[in-house]
Amino acid sequence: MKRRNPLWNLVFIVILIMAFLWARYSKERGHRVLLAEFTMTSPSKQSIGRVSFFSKDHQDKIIQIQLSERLKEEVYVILYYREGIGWMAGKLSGTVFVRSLGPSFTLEKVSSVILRGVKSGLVYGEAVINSSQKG
Amino acid sequence: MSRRRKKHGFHTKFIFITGGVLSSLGKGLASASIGALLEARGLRVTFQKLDPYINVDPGTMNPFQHGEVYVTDDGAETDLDLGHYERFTSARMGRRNNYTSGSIYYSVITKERRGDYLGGTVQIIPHVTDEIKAAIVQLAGSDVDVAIIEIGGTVGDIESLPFLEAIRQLRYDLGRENTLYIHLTFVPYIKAAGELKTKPTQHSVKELRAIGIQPDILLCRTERFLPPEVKKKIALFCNVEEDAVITAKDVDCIYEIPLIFHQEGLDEKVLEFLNIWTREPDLKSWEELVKKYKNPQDEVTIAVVGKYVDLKDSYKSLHEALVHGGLANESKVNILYVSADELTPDNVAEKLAEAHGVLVPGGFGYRGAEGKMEAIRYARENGVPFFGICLGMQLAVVEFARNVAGLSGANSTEFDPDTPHPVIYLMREWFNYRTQRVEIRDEKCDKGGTMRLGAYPCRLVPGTISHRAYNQEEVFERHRHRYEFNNQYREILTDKGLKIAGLSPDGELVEIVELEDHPWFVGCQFHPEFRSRPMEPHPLFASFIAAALERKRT
Repeated sequence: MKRRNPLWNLVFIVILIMAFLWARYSKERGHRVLLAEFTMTSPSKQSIGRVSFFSKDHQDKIIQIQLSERLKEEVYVILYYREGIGWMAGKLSGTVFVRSLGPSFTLEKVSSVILRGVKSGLVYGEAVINSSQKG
Repeated sequence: MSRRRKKHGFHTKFIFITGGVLSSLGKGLASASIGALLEARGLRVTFQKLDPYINVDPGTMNPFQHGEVYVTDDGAETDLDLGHYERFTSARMGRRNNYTSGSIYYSVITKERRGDYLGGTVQIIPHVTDEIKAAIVQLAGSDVDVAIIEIGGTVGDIESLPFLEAIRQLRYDLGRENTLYIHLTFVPYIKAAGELKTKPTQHSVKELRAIGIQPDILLCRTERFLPPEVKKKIALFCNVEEDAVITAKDVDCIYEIPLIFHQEGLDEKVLEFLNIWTREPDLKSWEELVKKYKNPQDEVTIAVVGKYVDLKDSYKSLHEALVHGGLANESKVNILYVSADELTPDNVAEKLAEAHGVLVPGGFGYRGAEGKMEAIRYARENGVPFFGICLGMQLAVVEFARNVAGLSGANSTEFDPDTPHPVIYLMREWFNYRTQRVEIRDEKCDKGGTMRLGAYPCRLVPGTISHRAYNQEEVFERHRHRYEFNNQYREILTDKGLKIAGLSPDGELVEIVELEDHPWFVGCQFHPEFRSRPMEPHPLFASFIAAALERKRT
């Protein structure tokens, strides 16, 4: 009887490992749902990018800022909870900013998102979180 | 507790204030001032005082031991620091803003007896600490941005250890961005050496770190501003950032503390640690208040005749309310504390000669009562503005009954149960509008928490001094009393010239009495001092000081 080449065993093992890794990756990647999207405007009211809020696996909430071009300096991303009261979600130095806001976050907790220069303190952009667009 | 709260974002954030080296450094005022600064930036604040003593509340404690018992609208008998919190901010305090070791243990033991712990061994950690954490975390909510928690006592005390352990755990439960530790310590200036000494602060922080708490900010109580090299040294030895070492300099006017703290950058640092972005604080009203306090147009002397005069903390709110009354009249109020024990018919005129007004505050027990009545008689007969509060009002009624109405031997049944004329007697029942229940009491009731406590409505009689002062028909004032005006004597006394100026809405309880043919004679059963604020002086205190100024000018 013709015996199978032992190398096939190795191939099967590799396939099994890859299947396992793929399954784990797809589970981790989760299911992202766009909750709302807003335009980020400069002080001169020009659009400079977009702010999006996602829900991941219906639990964790994520903020994503996509700018059309790099700003002159590193900026703080500040989420204003109500008029004049906010908290910093992090710093943005390139054109993309992604940060988890935790499962308890709701869009009702934000009235605007502001990009403020770390060194100069200047406001580079603002997105008003319009309640009618909140998901 | 859910680990979810650890995530960043805007939750209610907690500031924990501890004290070291020695007591009476002013943790309460420091907490209140931090609250005032945060409020000036648009944040909504609340407070909580955690007292390490075993009494369930301070209601049964001697004022000499504890100082004033501050009463809140909901009828809680609390620590006097809650008075500072209410005076410095718009936060309103209540039962959930003051816990003691006694109340925490009481709750744990009640649960144990009920079987809530399912046969488990009940221990300090986690059962007592969990109870403390639950008491703290209940303050969180959408209407509160920052909760300031003051731990009573001094670091190193055995009885405050469960509270410190609970706040240590809370950093891990809530996350670094949602918690902040501020330690108030002492930096003495040694005149002989001409130096500020940092060692007590170093030891105090060492003590705190041994418990597992690394303070983020050090508030250093001292006579003079700390120079940069001293701050640097403290920062190095205590493992804090240099700009987190804040001078808490002694001040003449307590309302200046928020301004001093702001000048030192305290509010900025607090916000940095808590990751809160706000506008610049609006401190204009505080600056104007301090300016008014430091530049009075006139001054007046008020004699406070009481029996706890050796411990000024016993009359804390009263003292502040008189100051507020002065501010309303752009005048400085010199308070002359007179021991009621020392007043006799022979020396009363001499002892009160300097006073432009006489105030007899609340109190308990017979000691000093006759002296207080001498002061009241002196004020009544000489047209000196008189303000009687709680017991002060009751004694004014007794004095009037004896010396004007001719009811010989008239008294309060608190002092003489067999008096022939009990013009003041034990309140046996009253309607509690908060619980919508009739409260029943007798002589055998427990002493703790059984008085008529908290805010009750009072209808004012038009044409009276009180009505003119308040300019309202109905007011809510805080009460703390067991004895009350005896309605059987209402007609006899009013026929002789006593005026009933305020009554409970059902007309059953006399709340304010006044005198006809006297420039300013007001006795109130409630405690108006608990509702006076520096920015909103209480109408009765403002009116009383105005009358005293009038007396001085004439």
